[in-house]
Amino acid sequence: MKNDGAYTAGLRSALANRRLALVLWLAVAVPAGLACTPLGALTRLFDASPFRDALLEGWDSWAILSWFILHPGPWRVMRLVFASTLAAGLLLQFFLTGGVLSALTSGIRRPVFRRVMAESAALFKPSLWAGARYLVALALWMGLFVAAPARLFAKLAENRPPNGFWTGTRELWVVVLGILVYYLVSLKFDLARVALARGEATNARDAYRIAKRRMKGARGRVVGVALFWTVVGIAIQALFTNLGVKMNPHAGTGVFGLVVVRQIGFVVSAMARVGFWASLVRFDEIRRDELAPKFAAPLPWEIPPAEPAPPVPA
Amino acid sequence: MRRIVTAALVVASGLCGGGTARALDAPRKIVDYDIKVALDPEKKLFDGRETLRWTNPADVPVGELKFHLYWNAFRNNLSTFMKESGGQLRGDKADLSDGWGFIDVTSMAWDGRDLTSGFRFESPDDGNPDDRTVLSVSLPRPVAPGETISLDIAWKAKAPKVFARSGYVRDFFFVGQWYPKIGVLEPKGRRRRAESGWNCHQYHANSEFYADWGDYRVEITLPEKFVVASAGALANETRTGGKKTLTYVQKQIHDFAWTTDPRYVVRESVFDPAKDVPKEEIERASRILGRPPDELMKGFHPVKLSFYMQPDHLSQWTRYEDAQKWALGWFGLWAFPYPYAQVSVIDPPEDGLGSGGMEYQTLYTAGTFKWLARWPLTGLRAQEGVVVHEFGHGYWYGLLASNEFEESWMDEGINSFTEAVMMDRRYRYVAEFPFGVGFTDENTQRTIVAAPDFDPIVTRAWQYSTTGSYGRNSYPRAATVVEQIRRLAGEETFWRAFRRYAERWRFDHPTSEDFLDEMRTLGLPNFEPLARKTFYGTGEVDFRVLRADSERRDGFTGFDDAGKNVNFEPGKKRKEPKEKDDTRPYETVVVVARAGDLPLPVDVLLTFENGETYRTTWDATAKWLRLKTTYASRLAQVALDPDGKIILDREPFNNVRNVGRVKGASASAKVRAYAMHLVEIALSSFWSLP
Repeated sequence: MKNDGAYTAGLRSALANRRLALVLWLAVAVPAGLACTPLGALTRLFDASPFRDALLEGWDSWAILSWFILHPGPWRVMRLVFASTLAAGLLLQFFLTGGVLSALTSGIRRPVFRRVMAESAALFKPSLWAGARYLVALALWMGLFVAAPARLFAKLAENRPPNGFWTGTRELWVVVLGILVYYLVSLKFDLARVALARGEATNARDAYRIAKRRMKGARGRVVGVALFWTVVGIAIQALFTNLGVKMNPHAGTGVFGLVVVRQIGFVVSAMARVGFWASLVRFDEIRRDELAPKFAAPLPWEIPPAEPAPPVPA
Repeated sequence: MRRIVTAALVVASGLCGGGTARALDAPRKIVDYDIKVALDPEKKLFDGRETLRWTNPADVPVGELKFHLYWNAFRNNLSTFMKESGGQLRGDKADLSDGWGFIDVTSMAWDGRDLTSGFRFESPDDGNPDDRTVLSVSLPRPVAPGETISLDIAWKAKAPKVFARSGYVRDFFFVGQWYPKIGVLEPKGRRRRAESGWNCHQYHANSEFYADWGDYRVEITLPEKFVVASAGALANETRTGGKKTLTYVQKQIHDFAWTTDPRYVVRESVFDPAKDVPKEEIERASRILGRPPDELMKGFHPVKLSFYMQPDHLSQWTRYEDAQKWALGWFGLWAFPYPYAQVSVIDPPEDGLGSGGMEYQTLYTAGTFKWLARWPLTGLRAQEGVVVHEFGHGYWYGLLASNEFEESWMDEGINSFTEAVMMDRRYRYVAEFPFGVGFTDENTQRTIVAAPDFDPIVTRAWQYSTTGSYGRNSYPRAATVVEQIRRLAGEETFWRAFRRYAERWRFDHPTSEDFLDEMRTLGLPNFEPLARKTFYGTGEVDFRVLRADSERRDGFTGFDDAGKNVNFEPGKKRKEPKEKDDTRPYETVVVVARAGDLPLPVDVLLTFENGETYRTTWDATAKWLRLKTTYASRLAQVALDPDGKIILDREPFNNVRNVGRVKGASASAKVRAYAMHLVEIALSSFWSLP
C-alpha cells in the first residue's frame, strides 16, 4: 500500500476491509431497522384494503395517492419517522467515520468493531468542532462564490428575455462553482478528520491547518479522487436500486429476498465509502511526503573546516 | 423533406376544405366583425375601429345593446375583477405599479347616428359602481326581431402587463378579449330561457367567456419585425414604411385572439388523419361506438399546425406536436372531427406565463419551462398536458359554446375529464418518475374526493365560496363525476351518449341540463340522486364494511321444548372438536353501509376460505345492508366495490375487511420494505459525497 497511488490504495482497501464496511453499514441498517416498526404499523392498512392485489403486482398510482391524500395523519407520522431516522443515521455516520479513519490510518485490521467504537468516541469531540467549522466555512464560501454572483447575474438578466445569456451563465455558475466549492470545502474537512485520526492534530484548529497545507497545490488531484468515488458510489446505488425495483416481489419469500439483496447493496456501498476514505488517507500520506523538507545531496558534500578552538586565556 | 410533405398536405387540405366549409356555413350566425387595429408596441396602445353587424335573434324588439369591455378589468383597483382577485390569479400576480390597462370606446354610430350619448356602465352581477367592464348603449329606436344592424365603433386600448390571460411583457403581446365585444342576447328557449334577454356579465376573477357565433375579418398593423399568430387564416399581407398590415379571416367562431412577438420561431406541421390517427384507436372507437371505421373517419381532413415557439423552448415543439396530433385524432373519433383548417399553438415566454394555458378558438396558449425538457423532469408531461387540455377547450368552450360565466364546469369539467382519458391512454402517466413510479391524470384529479365541498358544481363562476372551490368544482370534481357516470354506465353505453351529446350541440350553446338529459338516456339506476346531489348539491359518499363475522355454529344448542339438553352438559365446559375433525358449518354475518348521501349501486363480494365467492349488487338506497349465510367454509374477506367503480368513494381503505389472518403474500410487508429501503438509500447516498 505504501507505494500505491490514491486510487489503487482505495480500491485495494475497499476489498480488503470488508469488516470495516460492515461496521459502517450499521449506520444505515440500525436506524432503518428501528424505523421498521413504525413503518410496519403505518403500512398495515394495505393488507385490508382494495389495493392489496394491485400492490403485490407492482406500483398502484391510486393506492399511493389516496394513502397520501386520505390519510394525512399517518403520512405526517411517516415523514417524522423518515426525518428522525435520517437524522439519527447521519449522526451515527458522523460518529463512526472517526473510528473508520483511525482504523485505516493504523492499518490494524482486527478487532474492528471495538476499535472503531473506541476511536470514534475518542475523536468525537474534536470532530464535532471540525464539523461546526465545516458548516460555517461552507455557508461562507457558498455565499461568497456561488450565491452572490448568482444574484448579480439574476440582476443582469432582469427585463431581458428569459433564459438568455445571463440566465445561462447564472445556471452554469451555480452548478459548476457550487460543486467545486462544495467539494473543496468538504475535502478540507475530510482531510482535517484524517489529521485528527492520525493523531497529527488534537483539535479542529490544528487539524484544519494541516488539511490546508496538504491541499494547497493539489486541489485538482484531491477533487479528482472524490469525483471518482462519487461516480463509483452512484453507480452502485443505481445498480442495486434498479435491481430492487425489478425484483418487485409477489410473495413473502420474495420480500425477504428483496431485503437481503438491498442490504448486500448497502454493504457494497459502504465498501466504496471505505475505499474513498482509504484513497484520501493515501493522498494525505503522499502529500505529507511531498511536503516534507527536502535535503539536497550534492556529492561530495562540502564540510566546512572545523572552527579553531578559542584561545585559552592565559 | 418536411416542408415538401407539408406543402402537399396543405394542398390536400384545400381540396377537402369543401367539407370543412360546409360545416362552417351551416350553423347560426349572429355577429360579423370587421376590425382594423394598429399596435404601438412602445406605448402598448391599440387604436382600433370595427364594423359590427349584429342580428337581433330574439322575438322581441331590443332598445339597448350591451358590450363587454374586458380590459377595463385592469383599469384600476376598484374593478370587480381586481377586487375579487386581489391582483392574483392562476398563480400569477398583477404588476400594480405600472401594469394597468384599459379600453375606451371613443365613438359608436349606427347609420351615421352617434350613440355615445346613450353610453352607461352597468354592473349586473354585483352592483359595483366603479366597474367598467359592461357598457350599455341606448338606441334611438328598437331593433326589430330578425333585423340586422351595422355599427361603426372606434376604440383605444392599452394592454395591461401580462396578467390573467392577456397583456404584454417586453415585446411579447397576447391579445385576447381585446375589442368591444357585444354581449349575448338570448332568445326565448336558448339555453332553456323562459324569456328573451341579455346575457352580459361583468368580467370576474373566476369567470371566463360567452359569446355569439359569427365571422371575423381582422386587419392588424404593426412594425415589420413582429411575428403574428391569430385565430384566423392569413388572407393578405402588405408592407409600407417599416410597418406591415396583416389581414386574417375566420368563419364561424365566437372569439378572436391574436399574439405577436419578434422572438417567435415558427414550426409548422400537418395533421394527416391517414397517418396520425392510430389504427388501433379507430378500431377501438368503432367497436365501442358501434359505427364502422369509414363512417368514423368521414369528416376528418388535414389540419395545418403552427407552433409559435420561444427560442429557449424550441426543442420542446415536437412534444406539443405529438400531443396535438393525438388530441385531433381522439376528438375526431370520440366527439366529431375538428372543423377548422388550422390550429396555432402559442408558446409564451416564461415571464409571460400569465397568458399561458388559455384557450381561444383555433389558437391557444400552451406553456413550458426550459427545465422541463431536462432529466429528470422530462417525465412531468406538462407540455403534453397543457396541449391536450387547451385544445380540448376548443371543443367544450369553442365548438360547444357553453356559458362559462354561469356553468363553468361544462367547459372546464368535461374538458378535464377528456384530458384525463386522453393523457392516460396516450402517455399512461401524467407525471412519471424513475423506477416505474408514476401518477395517472385521472388519479391526480380524483384526489379531490378527500376535500369537503361547500358548493354545488353548477354555480355561477363568481358565486363559489372561494376561488379554490371554483377550481375544485369546475375542474376535477366535475370531471370525476363524469368519470363516475362512465364507470357506472360502461364503455359502450357511455361513449355513445357522449358522442351524441357532442354532435348534437356543436356550434350551439348547451346547458348542464342538456348534458344531463343525454346521460339520462343511459337509464342508470340512481342517476337522478347522483346528478342532483353532485351537479346541484354537495353530496358525497363513503362505502364501508361495518361488520364481518364468520364462526362455527352447532345449529341448535340449549334446552329443547321438552326441556332436554341439546349439545351441552350443565356444569361441564364443552370440548371443541379438533379443527380437522370439525364439520360444523360457519355462520357468516356481514354488514356493509353507506355514509353520505349518494346512493350509488355498489358490488359486494364475499370470498370464502375454500375459494368460493358470492357477489351481489347493492343499490344502496338504504343506509346499510346485512348479509347472513350458513356455509361449510369460513368467510375470508368481504370487499365492497371490488372493481373500483365508485370513484367518488371518499375512503376506499375501509372497503375491505379480512376475517382472521390474511393468508398469502403481504402488500404491507412489501410497501414497508420499499419504504425502509428509501430511508437507507437516502442515508447511503451521503456515502457518494466527499
